[in-house]
This record gives sequence, C-alpha cells and structure tokens, in this order.
Amino acid sequence: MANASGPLDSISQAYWDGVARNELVVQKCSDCGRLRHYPQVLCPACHSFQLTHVSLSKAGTVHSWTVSEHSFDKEIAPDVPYTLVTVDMQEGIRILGRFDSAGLPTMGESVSLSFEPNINSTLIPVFRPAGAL
Amino acid sequence: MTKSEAAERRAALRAQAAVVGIGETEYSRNSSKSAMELQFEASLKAIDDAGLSPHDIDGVIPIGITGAPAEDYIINLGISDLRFSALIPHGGASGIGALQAAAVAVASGIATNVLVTSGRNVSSGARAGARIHQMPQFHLVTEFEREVGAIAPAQLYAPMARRHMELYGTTSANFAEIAVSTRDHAVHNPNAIMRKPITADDHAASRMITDPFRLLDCSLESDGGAAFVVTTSEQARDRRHPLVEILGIAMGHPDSPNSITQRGSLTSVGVAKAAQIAFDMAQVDHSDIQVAEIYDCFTYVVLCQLEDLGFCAKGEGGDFVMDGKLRRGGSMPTNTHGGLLSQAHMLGMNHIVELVRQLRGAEGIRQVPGASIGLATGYGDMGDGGVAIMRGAHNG
Repeated sequence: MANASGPLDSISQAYWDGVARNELVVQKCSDCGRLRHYPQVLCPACHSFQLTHVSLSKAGTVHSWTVSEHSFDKEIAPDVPYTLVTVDMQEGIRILGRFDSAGLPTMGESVSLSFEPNINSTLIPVFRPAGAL
Repeated sequence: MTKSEAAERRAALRAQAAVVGIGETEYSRNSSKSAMELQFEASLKAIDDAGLSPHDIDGVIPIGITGAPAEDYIINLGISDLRFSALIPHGGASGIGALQAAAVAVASGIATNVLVTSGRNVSSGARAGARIHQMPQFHLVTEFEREVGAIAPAQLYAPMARRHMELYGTTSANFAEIAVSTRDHAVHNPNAIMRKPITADDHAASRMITDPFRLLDCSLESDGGAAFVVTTSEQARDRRHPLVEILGIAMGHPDSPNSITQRGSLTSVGVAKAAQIAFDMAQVDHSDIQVAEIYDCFTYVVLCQLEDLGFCAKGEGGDFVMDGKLRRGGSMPTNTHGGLLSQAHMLGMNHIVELVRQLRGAEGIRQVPGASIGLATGYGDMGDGGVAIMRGAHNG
C-alpha cells in the first residue's frame, strides 16, 4: 500500500508494513524497553541503536482535535469538513488520525483505531468512539 | 562549567551588541520583485540606516528558505573579506536566533558588522501548506500526518489551541482581542497590508479555517524584505540613530520539536525554556517591559507565549489580554507594527525591526511614549522559540 516515501522510510518500514496489516507497530528499545513513535534512530533515554518492533492495542483516548473547514489542498476538497484528532494510545505514544463520527470528539473520550484508505488510497489512521462499528 | 558560571558568561554579553541599522521594503501581496531582490533591497536600506557602506559588512546570516546563501552576498555587495556566516533553520524563530549569533560574533571580535536579512515572494508561489513539506524539519509531518489531512501549519497548531481552551477555559473572544488590538496598531502603520479596523464581531463572523482558528486568527501570506545590522555597542554609539542594544537573548525548543502530536504538553512552546534565561541576562523584570513584539502567526500563539514568557501563569493568558494592555495606550502595547496578522508575514524579522524603531523613540503616532526597554520573540516551525530583550538609549 502507498507510503509517503522519504529519506527515512527505512526506519519506518516496519510501521508501514504494520499499517498494511491494520496493525499499529512502533519501535521499542531493546535495551531499556522504552516505546517511541514516530520512528527514530536512537533511544532518547539510553541512546541504544538496538530496537524491536511491537504491535500495540488500538485503544486510546482523545487528547485534542481540530475540525478543518478550509480546503488546504485541492485533492482534499471532497473531504472538507473533516476532523483531525490527537489520541493518547493506551501504551503511551500518540497518533494523529481522522475522527469518523457524527459528533465532535470530547477530551478523554475512548476511541479505537483502524487503518483505512484516504482519498488517495493511502492507508491512514481513523478513530471512532470505542464500541462504535 | 557550572550553571552559574554559564550565567556569568552570558551576563558578560549584556549590552555588548547593538542593532545599528534597520531596513524594510514595502510589504504587499503582489510584488513583482524576486525574493532575492527584496532581500537585497532591505539589506541596502539597513546598511545605509547604519551609516555604513555594503563593503563594511563582514558577516551575513540569511533568513528563510528563500534566502540567498552567503556567497551571493559576497558577489552582490562586493564584500572582500566575509568573516562570519551562519544559517539558523528555525522558521520564524530564525530572526532572534540570528540576532543571538550576530551578537556573539561581534562581541567576540569574529566580525564587526553582521547583516541579518530576509526576503520572500510567496504571493505568486506555493502556499504555506505546500512550502512546509519541502522543509527537512517537517519530514515527520510529511510522512505521517500529511496524508491524514494535516497539510498546513494552521492544522498543526489548532490542536494546541483547542487543548488550551479545554484545559483552561480560554475562548475565541480572547483570540479576538489579540486580532483586534493588532489590527488597530496596523491601522496606524503606513507600511501595513491590512489597515481597515476590525471589531470582535468581525472576528466572530470571519469564516472558520480549522477550529478554533477563524480567518482573523491567521497571519498573512506576504511579499517583502526586512533586514538589520548588528555591531558592538561601542561602535554603535554616536551614529545616526540612538543606541539600541541587546540586554538579554535566548533560544529554546519544545520537547518533540518536529512533531506536535508526540509532544508531552501541547500548551507550552520553546520560548518557555528561554524566557528566564533572557530576563536574568538582561537584569530586568517583566514589569520593566514597556513594549512587546510577539510572534503572531496565529492569535493563540501570542497568548501562549505571554504565558510561557512569564507575564502570567499558564492558563491565565485569556484573562491577561482582556484588559486592553496590548492595545495602543495599554500597559504593554504589543505588535505595534501590526504583526504577522495585519502588517505582513516577514518571519518575525519585522518584529525585531519594529522593536528597534520603538526603542529609538521616534515612531511618531505609533511611538509607545517613553519606551526604553522592550522585548521581541520568535516562534518557528512547530514551536522553536527565541526572545530578545533590548534597551534604547534615547531616554537616558
């Protein structure tokens, strides 16, 4: 599936491979166990290069959001208005995704994550209120 | 080196460097000149204002991604011996970062006259939402957030403002006060793009861009150039204009500086780490600040910085601005040029130029009466910050 390829995609390949399986995969330091996201070279706590990848739960709570009414790009115009939501995942990292619900998110609201195609067929994080289908 | 030794060394830089020349082009939304032409036009004005010849420049710091490299300054200005150059890649915090670098360079004798300069022509080119994805510091946003729909800076910053509103009860009316007071300053500035007065009702009626930011919460896209020249305080005395020198200056970066999403606290920015260092170095208190030029890419960013600078506690910024203190005649007139919201988006270089004007004491109708100590901030990319506290000698 499409991946916004950049100079650092070698260190983010495991994340994008996980996305293709509808899994949230993040880096974990092999030495001190710290989780980190977005992908980076060193553990900022112990400075180890050694890492594994772990698949997280897809449960989180709303940290903040914005409803975009202006179309900042003609490609995205059909989606406007849409809601971007910043989510604290249960294990401690954050994910920015679309919020798919009739209403606005609220602070601390429980949400669940899935990866779904956007208008360009790129898989992106989409959150819905926990329990919603 | 201990913390107190470092503070002593910083204190030794207090009042050692000065902004001796300033220059700005006309600001517009339709310049026919290239970014490079605008940059050189502002540069020549600043050099002339300093009473110098272009041949006297021996240090250059170009600002912004449209900046010409130092080599272009050598050939265009005819510099025979450039001794110092630097790049400060922190967006709207680059001007303060460059002022800091230039101050260190002249105070240490590495260079004598350092030119800091910027020029941009964005009205005919790509909008901010396209430009940021060309910049390396946005690579995480480009890879992980752009396809989600977070395209432009407004969308990256809006969740910071929303979080602040939810935690502290900050309202859009608080943002409106900043938009309205800034516009009123611009009304009195002939070189401001937006000079029609606005009210809080106009703000509330302006279209929603990305909640909570309405159109009148957002800065302009503009064309122009701004520049200044830094030399030692000693050299700057007895020039054409009263001495304006740097008392305290510091830069600070937020945690997770290249991803707001991953930042522990969404409601604080880099200048929070710089503020106390700058105030200590300057040996002034907040109550000494008579005029402030605070980076205003969005209204909320002014409110957040007022808190992070220590003018009020975190969460109190909304109430803090509502008594009119930022307005003309208020206790701390802020963005007296009209800022990025209403004068022009010149990367905060216009904030530094305006502070120098105010501290020279001859700004006419815009002059904050008796202003001799003031402050300018920068805010770049996803929250890089800088603050400079300066003093003008015109009042003694």
